[in-house]
Amino acid sequence: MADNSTAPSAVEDFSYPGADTVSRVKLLRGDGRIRLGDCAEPSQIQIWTRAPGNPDNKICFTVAAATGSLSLQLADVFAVQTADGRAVRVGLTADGATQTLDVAKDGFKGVGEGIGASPTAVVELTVTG
Amino acid sequence: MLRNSSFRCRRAGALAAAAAAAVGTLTTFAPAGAVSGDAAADDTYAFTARLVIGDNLRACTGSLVDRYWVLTAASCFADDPAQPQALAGGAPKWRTTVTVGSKSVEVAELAPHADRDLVMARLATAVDGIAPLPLATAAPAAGQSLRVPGFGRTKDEWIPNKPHTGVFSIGTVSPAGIGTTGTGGSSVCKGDTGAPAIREVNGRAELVAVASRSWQGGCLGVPASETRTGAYSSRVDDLGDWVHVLRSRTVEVKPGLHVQAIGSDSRLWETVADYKAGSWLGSWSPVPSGAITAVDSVAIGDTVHVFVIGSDGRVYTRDGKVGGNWTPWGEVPGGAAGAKGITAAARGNTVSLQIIGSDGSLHSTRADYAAGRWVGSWERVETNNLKAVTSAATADGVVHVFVINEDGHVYTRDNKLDGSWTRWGDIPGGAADVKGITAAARGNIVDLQIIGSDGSLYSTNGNFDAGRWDPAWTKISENKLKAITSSAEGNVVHVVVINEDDKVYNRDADYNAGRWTPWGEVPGGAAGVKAITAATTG
Repeated sequence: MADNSTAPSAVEDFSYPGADTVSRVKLLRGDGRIRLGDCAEPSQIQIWTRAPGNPDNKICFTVAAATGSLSLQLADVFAVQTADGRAVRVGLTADGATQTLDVAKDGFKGVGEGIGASPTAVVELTVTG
Repeated sequence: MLRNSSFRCRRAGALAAAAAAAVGTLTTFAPAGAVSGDAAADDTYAFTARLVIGDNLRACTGSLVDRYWVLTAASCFADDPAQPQALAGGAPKWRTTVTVGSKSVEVAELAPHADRDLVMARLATAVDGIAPLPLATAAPAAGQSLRVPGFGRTKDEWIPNKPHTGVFSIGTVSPAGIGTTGTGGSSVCKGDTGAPAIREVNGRAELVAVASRSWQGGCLGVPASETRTGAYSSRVDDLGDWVHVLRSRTVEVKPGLHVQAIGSDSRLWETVADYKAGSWLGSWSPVPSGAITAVDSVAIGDTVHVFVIGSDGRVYTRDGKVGGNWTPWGEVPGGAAGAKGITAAARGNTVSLQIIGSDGSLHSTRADYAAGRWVGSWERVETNNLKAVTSAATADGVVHVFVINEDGHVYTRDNKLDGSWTRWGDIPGGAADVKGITAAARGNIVDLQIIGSDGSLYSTNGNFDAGRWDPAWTKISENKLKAITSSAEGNVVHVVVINEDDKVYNRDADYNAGRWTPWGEVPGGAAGVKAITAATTG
């Protein structure tokens, strides 16, 4: 009988669970409170994108608390929407520069190509309230 | 910790039901009632600790094994979690927060085990109010089942708010670890490393092993192709000594000969000698206090009572019970002011406390520690002009008070069981110009030592069974002593002195061997010491 001593470590490293099975967005690290959701179900953050693999041009995230963070890589984002009473700060990169965008509760903001600017990627989501 | 349905497990009732259901499938492994009996209580696994290491760098589970210590896995802190043996001791590389119940404290120090994936994490402040998890002493055996509570991932939760528990059956047992298999859909998932694997005996949980590695079948984010629920855990049932030695470092009040000294800073310092282990602590610990001018102490059983005169002339006291912490200082009721000298002796649970008041006279009060109260006032025994005072209580309950009077001679009087005082009498031997005095009792014999006019150590004794004093003082050693105290431990009287170099030395009158031991400096490097007292816990 195996004693399992060659099994992998079970230390939580905060890397997104099962990220390698998701191709439409690169999910990196988080504190567990922002999770990729199903846009057909209630969600607190919706990101509009032209990135391949997103036929509805939309990716949705659920937020479990008034705080939370997730680092990710999602290209060609053109808008960010919040719902269900959550506000979020969005980390963006465009043309090699980074900036943040605050989206209030139940808000909608155009981003990058959505407001006639350069193609923009979302790299960080931080729940602010 | 994966359960069949972790979402339902967020509710305590559902958790209990799920746990009971899991046990139901385990009747061939679990002793009847051992597991199912305690899953209902919300705080059953209150000792389970969540560890967050760095800024969400890593997370693990651990267990509180002492108010100052959490036992977890070394791999949680190693640069490469696959190489736990590379972890160095000392302050953690990443700021680490331990949450036990509603309390969150930082880790001050890591003490890794030499060759198992284990580390004792010392907390910066003690966690009180949560019973620590005791270590098992019986070895694990194949076929036994263990319960593992952990803060790790579940089937569908990434960072759960509450721990989940699962039952695991032991498959293999090696000298350093055990291989287990999850039952009822349980698995050790990411975040569960460090979790306690618990044996439950008569409703009492004990720590058998600490989770290290796992195949993580069924855990969130693990491909469905992985079906193994096996895990490896490091055994701790044979590491009682390792844990005990670390725990004893943070016990404030240790057993043994407590020596308290007023340092050159006029503050109180403390060290301890454990004569059973044959060693001194080796360092002096500062005692939080204001400026102090005099100190005495006495032990009742395993509790040391310390009495001091503050620079304000008032009398303060604190208690330390072995294995626990010192109480804060409190003023001895009775409003003493301008006190110049102090001595305490214990008869039963009562401490008889004497001071030389601002008037030079002997004043007395007492505390009944069984009833938890002081008399509340000071009785002036007689008008005198005393220079120093000491006391000892013999087995018959009589408190013998010894003083150096203004004439430099030694006198004594007794406080009898009924509270009445005998008259002053002198001690045979005619010592003059006495500079220091201390008394300790062995049964009904009082050992009395003085610093003579020449600074040397002299000794005599009074046998209260036979009703007589040794007719002469015996010079024990040629010295230039400045202060003296003593404490009896069985048939041995520990004498502790401040020498002319203002350092602290000790020798014992060993009545078992019938000899004095040689002088030795009390380790710890105290210098400029102004006053000392000693008391031995029983």
